[in-house]
Amino acid sequence: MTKTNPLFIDSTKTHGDSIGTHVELKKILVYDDEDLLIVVTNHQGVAMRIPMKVAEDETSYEARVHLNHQKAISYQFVVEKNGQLILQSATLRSRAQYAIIEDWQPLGADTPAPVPAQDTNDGTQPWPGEYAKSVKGLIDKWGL
Amino acid sequence: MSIISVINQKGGVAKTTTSLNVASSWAAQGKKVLLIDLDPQSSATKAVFGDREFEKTIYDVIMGHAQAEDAIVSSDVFGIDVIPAEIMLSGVDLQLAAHFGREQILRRKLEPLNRRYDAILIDCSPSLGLMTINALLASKDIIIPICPEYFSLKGIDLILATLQNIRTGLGYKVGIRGVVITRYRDRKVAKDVIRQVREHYQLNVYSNYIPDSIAVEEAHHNHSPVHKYAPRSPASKAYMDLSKELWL
Repeated sequence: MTKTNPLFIDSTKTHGDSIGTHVELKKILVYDDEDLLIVVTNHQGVAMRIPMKVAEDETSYEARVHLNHQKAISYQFVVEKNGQLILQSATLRSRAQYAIIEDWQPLGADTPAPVPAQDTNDGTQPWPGEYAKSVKGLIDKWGL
Repeated sequence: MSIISVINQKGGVAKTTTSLNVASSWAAQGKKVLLIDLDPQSSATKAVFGDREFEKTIYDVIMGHAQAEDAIVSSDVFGIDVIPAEIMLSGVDLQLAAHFGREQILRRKLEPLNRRYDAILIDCSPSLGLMTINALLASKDIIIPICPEYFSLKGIDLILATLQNIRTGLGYKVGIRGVVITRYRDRKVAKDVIRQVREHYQLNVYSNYIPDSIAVEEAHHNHSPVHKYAPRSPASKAYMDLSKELWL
């Protein structure tokens, strides 16, 4: 059940529609003099730095970012103090959906970077369905 | 009015038995209940009506050939209304693959019934397909029946992953009302699994466990709810108590 499973793609949203994406980061402790931000790079390569606030349940941090539905994005969580970077997560790649929900996993010298791509298709590749119908797809499948 | 899906992607955990007996127990307590059979195997339909065939089923409703109210059939024995299923439902995923808004067909079809019932229960198929997604998007909450074995925890993992995917991909938050323990036997493994569900998954486990009982199976074969077939059996009392607990 990957995030590109067509079962979980809203058929009423055409590729590229703008949606408000809810961002939620769990299992993180941020001190009073620190800031938590999500840095999102959209499909056009524009980076947005959005401050995250404590959620109502006080167990996680949340933010809202406007993205184009199903377009390739990358994002990273960073903790800053007086504008200086203190901690950061790995840069993750996905497609813009209605929610980004992650557990905090800081990158450290002794911490191997997690596998970044949940969706290895960065938007430059055709969708599996399109690929199956393409000339190259048919040749690969049937040897035509 | 609540719409609740009874779901577990693991088979054989008494989804249908739980749906039927909870629905019927609610009806016995004076509630107006609709049960929707969304499993192509039609287990709930067969348990209530035997081999009877229906002119209109949930398949016709989903495909737009009928309105939901036209497919409702009443069962005097169970005291509930049912929208029956049929095997054609297994082909719906392909038939609706290119249908605009295919994920929310059931949600839209059930809207006219909102004021007619106190509760609508949806008996889901064990597979994760378009119909299960439709059930989840139509529901406010879900109930997860599990047999307390180690493999049952895998079923919970699958459900949680599905709910997360629905939230991220489709933007809907479906709540987990709680976990129903079925086919309970007083064994260490059962207690371990229940403890893990509470502590590791942080899920609400209903305190009325349904005991492993032949009366439940016999009631099924006799097309009767267990509270009518064997009213003095422990399973009958457990389902009655569970239905009250579920209604809170």
